[in-house]
Amino acid sequence: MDTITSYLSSLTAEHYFFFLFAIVAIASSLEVVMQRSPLYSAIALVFTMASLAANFVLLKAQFLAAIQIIVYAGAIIVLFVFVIMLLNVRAEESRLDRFGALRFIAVPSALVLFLGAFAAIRFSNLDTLSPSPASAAAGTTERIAELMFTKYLLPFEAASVLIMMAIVGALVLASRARDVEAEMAAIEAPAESEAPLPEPEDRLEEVEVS
Amino acid sequence: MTVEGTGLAVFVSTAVPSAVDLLAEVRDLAMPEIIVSVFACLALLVAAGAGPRHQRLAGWASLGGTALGLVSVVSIWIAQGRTLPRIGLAGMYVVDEFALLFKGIAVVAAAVTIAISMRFLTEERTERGEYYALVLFATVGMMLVPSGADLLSLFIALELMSLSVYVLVGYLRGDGRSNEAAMKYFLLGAFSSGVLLYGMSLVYGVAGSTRLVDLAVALPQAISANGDLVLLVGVGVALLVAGLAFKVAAAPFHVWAPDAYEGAPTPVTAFMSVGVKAASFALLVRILVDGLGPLRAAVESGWPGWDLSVGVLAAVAMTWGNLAALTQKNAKRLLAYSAVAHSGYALLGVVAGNRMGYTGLVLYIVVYVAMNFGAFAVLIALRRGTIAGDGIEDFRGLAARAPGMAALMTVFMLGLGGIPPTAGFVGKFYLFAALVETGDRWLVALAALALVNTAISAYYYLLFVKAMYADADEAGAPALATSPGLLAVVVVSGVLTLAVGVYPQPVIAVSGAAAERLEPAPGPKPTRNSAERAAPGGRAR
Repeated sequence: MDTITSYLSSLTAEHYFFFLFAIVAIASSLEVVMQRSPLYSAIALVFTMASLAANFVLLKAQFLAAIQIIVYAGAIIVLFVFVIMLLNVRAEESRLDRFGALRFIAVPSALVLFLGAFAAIRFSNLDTLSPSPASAAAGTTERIAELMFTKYLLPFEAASVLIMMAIVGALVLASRARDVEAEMAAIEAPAESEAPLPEPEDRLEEVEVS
Repeated sequence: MTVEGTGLAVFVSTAVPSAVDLLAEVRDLAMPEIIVSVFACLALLVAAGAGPRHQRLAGWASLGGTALGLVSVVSIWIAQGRTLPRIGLAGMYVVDEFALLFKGIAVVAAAVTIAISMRFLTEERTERGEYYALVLFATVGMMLVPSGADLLSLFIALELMSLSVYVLVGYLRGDGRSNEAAMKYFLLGAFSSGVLLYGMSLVYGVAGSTRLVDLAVALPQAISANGDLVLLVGVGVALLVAGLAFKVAAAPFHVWAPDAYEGAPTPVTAFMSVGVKAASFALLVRILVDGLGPLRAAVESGWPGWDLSVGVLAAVAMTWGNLAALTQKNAKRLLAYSAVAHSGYALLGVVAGNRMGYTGLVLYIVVYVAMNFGAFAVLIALRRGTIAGDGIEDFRGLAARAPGMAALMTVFMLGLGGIPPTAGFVGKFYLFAALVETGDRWLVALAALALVNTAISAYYYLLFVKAMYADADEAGAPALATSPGLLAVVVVSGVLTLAVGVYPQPVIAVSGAAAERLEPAPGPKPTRNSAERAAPGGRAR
């Protein structure tokens, strides 16, 4: 009991906030995976992103926190919700039941991984590690911009190629669905023997986007 | 270089010269990647400009890009050979012989994939220029991976490669198998990236740096200063090894490979089994040998180094891959399991950890490229009209219909089986001999297991030969779907497989040069030094 009270008295406000946001992040991310309704999952994801952003602030990464809120919680999740609503996705029926036996492997494996990571952090006496000096200026926009274009230039450029590739890949996969529809239409109406090829104008537009 | 309140003038006067220096460095070091990226964008523009019936133009543009990329890689090797290794871009990027050789493999893999894709895509009626652009984007990732000198740049390069390949696997419209394969590959690939990233974060947390050179110094120091940290580093290294095993498809982390290989369009399967595999091995060597080299053997008593886990992985991958391949009826699936087994063989070079082992690893990957591309090119030629052509029974009577093709396929199968006088034998010989050379009892036993596995694998490789020569022809089967590019790939691969088998010295010399800068394992074995001098890899320099 004494150890617990002395531990609690050693905590600062920062610790309390960390635990609060960490618990919210874990709980809401569990909710993301366990919800049957995609809409609820998407909304739970907002909470995950927001609490992660709060933890970024505690780590003195203010810029990252702001970006996290604006881009993820703001833009991307809103897009998710729009898509879910437009497509009128229903709650998915549980098809995972046929993998029921796998749960007996999955849960112990997850436990082993968790306990391994927990033990590693708990028993490693991390105080001997000298933490990198994080000043209040570390997470500002200026500092990040400077790092991005000097020290981290290569990863930054590689990431930009990656994002460009991701746009092309998304277009390839998304326009494929349209082709399948065309083929299905051709099968249903035998008069149209060949599936219509994508129009050239359409292709031009795709590249302008990328 | 922080921007003070004094205004733009100070900023410009400091930032512009350093930016110019940085750009010059990028030009000197990363020219091949820049060329391939530019041609990927060019392929997109051609795909947009050319009509739906002229999409192949994008393929030709991409081929030009790979050719220029290869020229750039070779010219860097020749022009800057004396100044290598060059580390630049704030320590993120390293150019040495190892990186250049793997960049060359990536570019060649891309060129071959494009060459064997053209006719295939026409047969599948899905020829679109974006396909070639995606192959080139994946290639940029494959070229950045072996040059990674930092966990961050390695990870982004890996993801660039992986994401492109996920899309390529799911490229075939309306083919359920292709969609399923892409989904499985994506989910397991994302999961394995997560495992890898978790390992990286733990290791970074202890070392305080993501630079590989810093890791090699800081990790053993941290452990010797505080013995308790061995647990944290151990979990991090275990996660890294597991993530890397996923990427090279070493059993038991290979479950994605058979489905992804079977469902993907066959040229993409070839690309995965050659290009992605080579780049993944480059990643593994960079992280394990360059970054975690000092943790190879036990640092703290009672805790094994990573050599134990990699050795077990190699043994399991060889055995599991070969035994599972015995029961397969689908040729792509069979080659997927054979690729798992080959990952196991290649890991032997890392386990041996001596000069000969590293040379053998590089050599094995080089010859594997030739043999595997040849085999897949023949498989692609069998895909014609309404025939899927990916079962072993599709090879029946091939010797009667296409004797040249059947003969070359026999060469590739003998090569993959490691039977002399093919290149596969030279590669396996180096890997096994490297294990024996260490003199370690367990490693010699591992070499024996590898020999047994080679014998097992000969059975299923010879199944193809039996089907081609001994079994009756399918009545009325149409001719093969070949193209000039595909024929060139088959012939060149066949000639290389035989030529390297008969006269391996040039390839051994190049592989030895590429492997020369990899840090050998510091072993207590007294015979190591004398044996190293006798190794042909060292002699060739």
